[in-house]
Amino acid sequence: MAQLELREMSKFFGGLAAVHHLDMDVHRGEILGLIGPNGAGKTTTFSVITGEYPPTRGEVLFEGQSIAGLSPHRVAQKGIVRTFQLNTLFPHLSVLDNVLIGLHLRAGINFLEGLFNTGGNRKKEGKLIRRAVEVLDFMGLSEFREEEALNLPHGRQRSLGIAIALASRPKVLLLDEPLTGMNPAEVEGMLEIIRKIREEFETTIVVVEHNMRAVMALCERLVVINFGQKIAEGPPEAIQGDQAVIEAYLGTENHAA
Amino acid sequence: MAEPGTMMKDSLDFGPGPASGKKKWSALVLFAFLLAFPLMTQDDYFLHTAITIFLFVLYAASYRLILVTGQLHLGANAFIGAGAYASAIMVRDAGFSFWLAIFLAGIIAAILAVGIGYFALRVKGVYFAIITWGFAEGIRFLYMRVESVFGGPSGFFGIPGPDPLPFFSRIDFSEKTHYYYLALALVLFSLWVLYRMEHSRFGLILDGIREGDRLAASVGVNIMGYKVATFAVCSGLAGMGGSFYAHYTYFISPNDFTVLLTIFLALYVVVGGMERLTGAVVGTVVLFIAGELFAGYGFYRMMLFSGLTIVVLLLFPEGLVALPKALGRVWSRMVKGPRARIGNGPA
Repeated sequence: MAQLELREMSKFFGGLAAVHHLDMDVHRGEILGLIGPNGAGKTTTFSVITGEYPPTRGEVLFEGQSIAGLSPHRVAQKGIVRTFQLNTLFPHLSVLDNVLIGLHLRAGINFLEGLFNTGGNRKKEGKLIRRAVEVLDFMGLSEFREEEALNLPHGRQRSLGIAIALASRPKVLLLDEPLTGMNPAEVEGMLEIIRKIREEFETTIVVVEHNMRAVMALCERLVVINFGQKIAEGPPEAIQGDQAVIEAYLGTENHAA
Repeated sequence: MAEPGTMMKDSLDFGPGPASGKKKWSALVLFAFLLAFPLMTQDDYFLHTAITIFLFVLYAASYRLILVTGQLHLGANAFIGAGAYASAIMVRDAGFSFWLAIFLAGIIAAILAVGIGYFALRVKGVYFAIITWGFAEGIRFLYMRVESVFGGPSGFFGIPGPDPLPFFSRIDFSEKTHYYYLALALVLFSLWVLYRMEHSRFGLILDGIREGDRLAASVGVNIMGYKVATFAVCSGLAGMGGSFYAHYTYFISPNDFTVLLTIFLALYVVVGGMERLTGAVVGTVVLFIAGELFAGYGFYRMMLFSGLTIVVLLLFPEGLVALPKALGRVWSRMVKGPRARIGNGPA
């Protein structure tokens, strides 16, 4: 059984189908690429999975249970966490604080403990900070710990976005365009990190990305959507030669040539 | 403690706060002064002013935290009033002890806040302002129309003062001094709660919600839960303040809890500086005392008061708490600036 399943999932905005009858399986431990031209419905798919929008029709199943219509924080509690396309951070907080918020689900500190600042509370805070530092180390950000998130260079901000998501130790991590605006060396580094995340955090990863070379190198399986519908699915080698995919990306002119 | 985490901890805002020695001492001196104040003056006017300031500091500080979470709240008067009326009814008509009633008043105000907040906190900005304002007016209408319970437009009379303290029956609230210490205790308790809320993990999550609510939700933060909880705690503290007010003045009326009260709180907070809890305290103390000093000018009183507010906001948009820094800037410009520019000796 797939870990995460979309069953005939549709999302309409007014009369417009952003996603239409999408079936998609995500298997435990894989790195799946979700690709397609601009406006194909990739990010909408992420938003439906994470509960920002309820699906108009269809089902979203996580480990066999329906999560369609749950609010985002409930989906996160189930173990699905996403990153965002733009550098979505807590801009005016320190890098460490950013990750400490990411640790929310692991904190286990209740209001009264925090209010009275009990010994137990302080111990837990210490533990959380150590954990946050571990995540920062892992993402290569520990030297920026006290820096305001806003002041990080672009690539580091992407890393921080992932660090925030990673802090909650998600079962499924959805990465929305993690490579945008990176130079080839940075892309190489990020791919390495994404592979390492899978190994060390035992996380299933779904990537939306436009950098095809990187996607082909990273993902074991690809799902291609266009105009909200799935047009192909399979290993990268098969997708590269798929006629429908080539048409979707290059238009039918290519077909005629 | 030799735990690895502890060293870094000091650089954070967690824990009891790495208050520097200087800060700690000035806080202690201030506290000693406040404790000794009634010994220095027996003048009822000064005591009454101090008590009222304490009360307004409590209101303003609890109001501030709601503003800080990004909600334009115009109904603080509703929760203060609810606490006052609830407590007055419980003590005068139901025979409760004041000491029980003041806590229950806080809880009632908090429950009311949960009820309103659960719906109203879904919207922001002017919409939230309209809902809270409307709620406050609605509740005032209730006080005026349901005369049998709330006493109607002419108010609620004959509210007993607090009963004597258990074990210390000499403190029976026959003197203003007794009220002074009760108000002091109440405001310190409230400031402590608010400070701890802001400087614990709870406050960090509030920061996160303000900085990026989508991102916070995506890592599992129940945004509604946090907003409602903050709204409830702040309103509960305000309700306890309202309860104290009722038993201090023995008389409350719907006119005590108009939106004007909330507007004044907003003024105090903004003039003092929203960034910090001390801003609410400083703003309240300065503006309240200014208002008292202008009291003799009758007709011109409000003009003077408003003028002062405008001047402060124009000169120090970050509020009075930024005053030392701003003065430092002016000072260095006056002393060092010309020298640096001209480059020969003091100007």
